[in-house]
Parts: sequence; structure tokens; C-alpha cells
Amino acid sequence: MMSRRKFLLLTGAAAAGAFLTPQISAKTQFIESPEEVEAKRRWAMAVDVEKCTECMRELIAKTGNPEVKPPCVVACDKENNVPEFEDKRIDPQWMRIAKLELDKPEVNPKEFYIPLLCNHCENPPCVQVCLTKASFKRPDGIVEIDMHRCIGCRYCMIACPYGARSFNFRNPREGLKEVNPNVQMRTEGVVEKCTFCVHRIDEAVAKGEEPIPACVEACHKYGKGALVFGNIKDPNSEISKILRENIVVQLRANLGTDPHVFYTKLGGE
Amino acid sequence: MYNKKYVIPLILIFLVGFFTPYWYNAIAGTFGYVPELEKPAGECVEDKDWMAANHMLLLQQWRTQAIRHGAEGGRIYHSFTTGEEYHASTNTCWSCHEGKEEFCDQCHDYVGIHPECWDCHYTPNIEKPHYSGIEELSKYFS
Repeated sequence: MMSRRKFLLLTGAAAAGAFLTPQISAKTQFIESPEEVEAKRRWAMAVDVEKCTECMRELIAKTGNPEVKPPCVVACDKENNVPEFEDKRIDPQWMRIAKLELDKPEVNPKEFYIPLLCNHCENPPCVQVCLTKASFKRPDGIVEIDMHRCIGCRYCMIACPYGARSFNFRNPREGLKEVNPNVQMRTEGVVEKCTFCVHRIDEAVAKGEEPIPACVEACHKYGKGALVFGNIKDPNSEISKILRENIVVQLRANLGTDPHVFYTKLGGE
Repeated sequence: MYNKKYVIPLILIFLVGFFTPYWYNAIAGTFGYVPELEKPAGECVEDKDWMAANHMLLLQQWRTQAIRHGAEGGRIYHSFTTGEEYHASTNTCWSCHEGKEEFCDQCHDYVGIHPECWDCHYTPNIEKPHYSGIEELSKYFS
């Protein structure tokens, strides 16, 4: 006859065995350590505002539509499955073009068009406020959202000084005409934003090539080549040269976020 | 036994209700039905039986690797069965398996669970044209 003590012990052990299913080892060897990546790569974008303005002016003159979408924005929307809705209040945008006029036209009478996208800050305020740690910064500087963890609280949208983030008020599939299988769609109730085409970057880095996001590719192919993307940790890259040789402007640099989208040729030089 | 004439019929009614799935399937002719899957074209990333038990753990690991450790080469998965390298993405699954309805749903519907993977992720069952790449934009811009 089994003692009560032994019986209870056996029952407990059997229950524990049933729940503790075999797990895959969480310790996986990756190619590089985060420290190595941080020392080697930091992705950034440079915008030639003069070329961008020129491209937009031509496009508006040709189409007669002041809200026309330039190649970079169309390419981004299609590459990343960004939906399009009639109602502009709920339409998610990863990249958009803003028209700027200086408040002192007697000093500089020019009007600019500049692309606005996620700045991939060095100190991203959106990551600081994220409750669930869904937003995070990768060691190579890209600020990304883990959609699986996002609960849609929208704190990050309030924290972002650049308005780079959009909330999915409706199922984005309703607003998609085409699907890019390489990028996941989003669902209702998560926040989304530009990722610098992270899937392309990881693919290119694995192959040892130079990565190029969709907007930059489209800008060079159909636009004026205003956008330059690259690694600022590499002193020989094109973007490093641009940053050395030009006066660059970061958006709202006074906030200390250290954004990594740089605007050059804003007039004056 | 007290109240025999109430208790025994109630026990019988309870038993009939309790075994509803059995007699329902027996009448419908699906007793002992187990979904059968067609053999996909290629070899799976891991052993078939291991995958049947642990595919969600594998997908979870791929998810963490690809998103959180993408910069460190996390999008590459090393199979411990074959030792080969695979791209940690659900699209890797679709390179062999035909589609969600033909594969995933067969067992998931059988056991009555509805994972939310395909709310966002691509499946071949999506009937929308594919974006083919940058060349496609030439119809908007010249």
C-alpha cells in the first residue's frame, strides 16, 4: 500500500512533467554580439532638401495635385504594406512630404519640401515610454516595434516629437490593394512606423551587400536622388562624406533625441 | 438508496450529455476521424514528429530571433536535425507547404483553436496581387 505522502509526491511530479514540455534552447549563438554590431554599424539617412524640393515642384507642376505622392512615398507604402484610407485622420503614414515656409521670407524666401519619417533617434523617447517594451532600439540604431507585444496604448505616439508613428484604427487589409509577402501586415490596434526597411537591411548585411531601403531606391530610380542611406560608422560610406562636407540639420535637435535623419542644403550654402 | 426514481434518470441524462461528442460523431460517421495532411514537397526544417509537437515553440523562437536579434544575424536559424541554415520567417514554411487552409487549419480546426498568426502574416491564401518590386512603379512615374 502506497503512503499518502508518496502518492501526493508522485501526483505532483506527474503534473509538473506534463506542464514542462521540452523547450528549445533559448541560448542561441548569433553571428555577432550586440556590442560588435554597435561598433560596426549605425544606419542613418541624409536628405538633400534642394533635390527633394526640385522633384516635388516638378511632380506638382506635372500632375497639378499639391498632395501628390512622390516615388519614395509610393514605394514605401507598397514595400511595407502601408494601407491607404480615404479618411485622412486614420490613414497610417510611414513617410510623408511636408511643405515648409520660413517665418522670415525677407531673409530666405524659399519654400522647401522635406520628407518626414521616423528619425531612428539615438535616445528614442518612444522606447522610454513603451509600457510593454514592444518598442525597442536595435544595436545598429534602428528603432523597431514588436507588433506581438504592442497593446496599442499610443503612449509612443504622444512621446514622439516627430509624429512619425501611426495607429491602426481599422484593419489595414481593407486599405491594401497589393500585398508584399516579405513584410508582415499589421492588425487593428497596433502602432506602426518606418523601420528603415529592416528586412532589406538584414538580408543585405547577411549577404555582405550595401542595404538600400525602398524609398531610397525609388528616389534614385524615379526621383532626383535626394535620399542617401548608409552606415555612419563606416568613414568611407557616402553618407559619412555627406555629413562631413555639408551643414546638416537634425529636426528638433534641442530635445536631445539625436535623430539620425539628416537634412542638408536647407539654403544658405 | 433514497429517491431512486429521480436520481437514476438524472444520472443517465448527465451521462448522455457528457458523452455528446462521442455519440454525435458516431451518428455523423466521423468517429475516430483524424485529419490527414498531404506530404509537402520539401524537407521540414526539423524532424516531423518534433514539429508536430513543438511548431509553436519554434515559431516563437523565430519571432524573437528575427525581431529582437535581427541585427546580430538572428534571422538565420540553424536546424538541429539537419544542421542546415534557414531563414527564420513564416515565408520559409510557405516554400514547401501549400497554404493555410490545406495545412494549418486542418489540425487547428480539428482541435478548435484559432491562432492569430495570419491576421498579419502573409499566407498563400490571400487573394490579392503581389507587389513585384520597384519596377512596378514605372506605371506611375516615368
